Amino acid sequence: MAASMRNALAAGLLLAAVPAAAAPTHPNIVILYADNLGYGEVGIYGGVRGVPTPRLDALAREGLRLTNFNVETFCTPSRTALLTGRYGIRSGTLLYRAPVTGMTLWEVTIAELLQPLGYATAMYGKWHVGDSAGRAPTHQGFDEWYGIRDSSNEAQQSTFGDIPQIWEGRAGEPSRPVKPFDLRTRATLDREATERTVDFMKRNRRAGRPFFAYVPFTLIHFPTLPHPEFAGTTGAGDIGDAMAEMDRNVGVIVDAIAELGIERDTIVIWASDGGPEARRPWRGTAGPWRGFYRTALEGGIRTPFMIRWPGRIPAGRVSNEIVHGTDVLPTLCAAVGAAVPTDRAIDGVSQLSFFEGRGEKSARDSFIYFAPPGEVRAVKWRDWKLHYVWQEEPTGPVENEMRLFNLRSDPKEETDIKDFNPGVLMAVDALVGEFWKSVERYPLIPVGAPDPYTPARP
Amino acid sequence: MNALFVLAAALVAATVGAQPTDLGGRWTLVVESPASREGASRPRIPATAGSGWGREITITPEAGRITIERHQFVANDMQPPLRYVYALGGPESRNVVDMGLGPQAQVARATFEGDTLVIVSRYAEGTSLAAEVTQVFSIDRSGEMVVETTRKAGGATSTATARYRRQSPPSLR
Repeated sequence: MAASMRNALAAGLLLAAVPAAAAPTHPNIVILYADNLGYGEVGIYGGVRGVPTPRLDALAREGLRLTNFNVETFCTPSRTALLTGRYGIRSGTLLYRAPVTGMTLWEVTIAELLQPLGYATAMYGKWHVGDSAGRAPTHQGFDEWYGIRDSSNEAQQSTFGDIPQIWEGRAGEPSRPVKPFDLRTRATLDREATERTVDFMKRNRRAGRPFFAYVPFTLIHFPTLPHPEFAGTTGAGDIGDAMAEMDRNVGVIVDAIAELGIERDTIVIWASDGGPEARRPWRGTAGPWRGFYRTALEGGIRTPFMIRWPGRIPAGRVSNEIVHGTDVLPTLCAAVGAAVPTDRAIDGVSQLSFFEGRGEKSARDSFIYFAPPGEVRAVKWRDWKLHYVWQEEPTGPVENEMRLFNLRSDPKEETDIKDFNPGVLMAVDALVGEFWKSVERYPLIPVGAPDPYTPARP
Repeated sequence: MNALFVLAAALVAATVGAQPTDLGGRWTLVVESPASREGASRPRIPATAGSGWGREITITPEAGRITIERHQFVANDMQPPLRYVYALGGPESRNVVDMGLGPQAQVARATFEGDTLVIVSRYAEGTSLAAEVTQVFSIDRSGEMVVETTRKAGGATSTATARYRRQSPPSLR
């Protein structure tokens, strides 16, 4: 038999072996990305404030809930990791400072990968991956956007020397300021983002277009000011009120998906970009975990994550397998049949098979946590976590001491056991070595790199 | 009384004098200078794994063996120090500790090589986390104890050096 015939036969057998359900489709995608919302704030994750979150809890039960989803050190790298599938250190986003902020246009976002497949794309909420001119969402694959360029604290006082604004933009047009972003409008922005998301979904449902709605909510980042409708309603303070509002907004979007009759055609992800705030008076909680965002402690990096895709992702499943924010892009690419870029380092891996229940194991068993300006701070590997240096509070001292914990026997990361498990140190060192080896092939983009960016090639 | 004390100290010293070097006493890790502040440059892997012995140990040399107690716990833990006993110059020693993961054994050989004590320990034998750790103890001119620790696992090797300062003079150990 000629080789070509053998290959054709093999290909045919392979195709026959693939379940029909695995064929690429163009489901709608809705990513609801909360801001610095600690693991302990959500009812189904323990809800330590006793604030009910029935809509989030229901969403989790209707799909897969992860108890070991991990993000980066703060908003910007967590968002670039989600949007590009790459560690923030690769994109030069471990610092966010004027004059050139955020990621270069060379990065390829989920939105840019979905547009060629016919997707309508929109972002409503907090961008925070590029304030500089020419780095609006509409330059990164989104057809339209509404929200803030930077972060919620800008509502208190701009850190960029201008009057912060809520912006609106459409692809091909300059974004324009709509109204000042201050403490009053900060409290209503998530409500606006929710309403615009619903409108966007309705428009594209009518048009028969698949859509991608990226909704990075501004809550519960400081200043944690909930919508006036929720202020003072829970008895659990501003964060409690903000959680009630978050739950309501998620419910509105989920209800709209149901009313449009597209539940089975829509992937919904709800997650948080960071662990709890440490800033008083809005000090959040990571529930069973220790620490705040901007630390390598579990509380800082392990955040809630749920994904629903009826008919594809089994309902009611909970997993403690390690998943990282960079995995979202490859997973969605696999779900829609989009190609992951091959001209750069992609740190994420597709978790589609795992999410769909075709395997019990995550496609990864480790990840590296980087701290500004670009150091390896910690590695999580299987049940282990090695801190290369030790820092308990975001602005606290950094002690030059390695600490190793087994997260299942010591979830609060309290008893250093590196001296009793030298084999773990060596395994983790090897992972770090592999990362730096990849950097030799794909150099890191420097913080503040301007556009147009052309990658250096060794 | 003083004479008795001096005599006792001399006897102890004579006993230890049978060993090539005097490691006896309670030792405290010399902590490296404070880490640089956030934002300052840092090496890619910023800290070392240390000696493998932690911040404070007590070494007790005896005829044919050496005991190292690791002061791991605080008073409220109500736990004794972790105790490792090594036969010198020949047979393997097996020490078992429980740090919350169940009993973990390490099998070691300890020998004096000239002025240095060398302990070669095998950890997690028969598992994917098997490792060999070689710790070389010596006293430098300043009287500080230097522990050079080499870890080998999975085909990789790394070495770290730590220094300890004696908390009590040898005669009072």
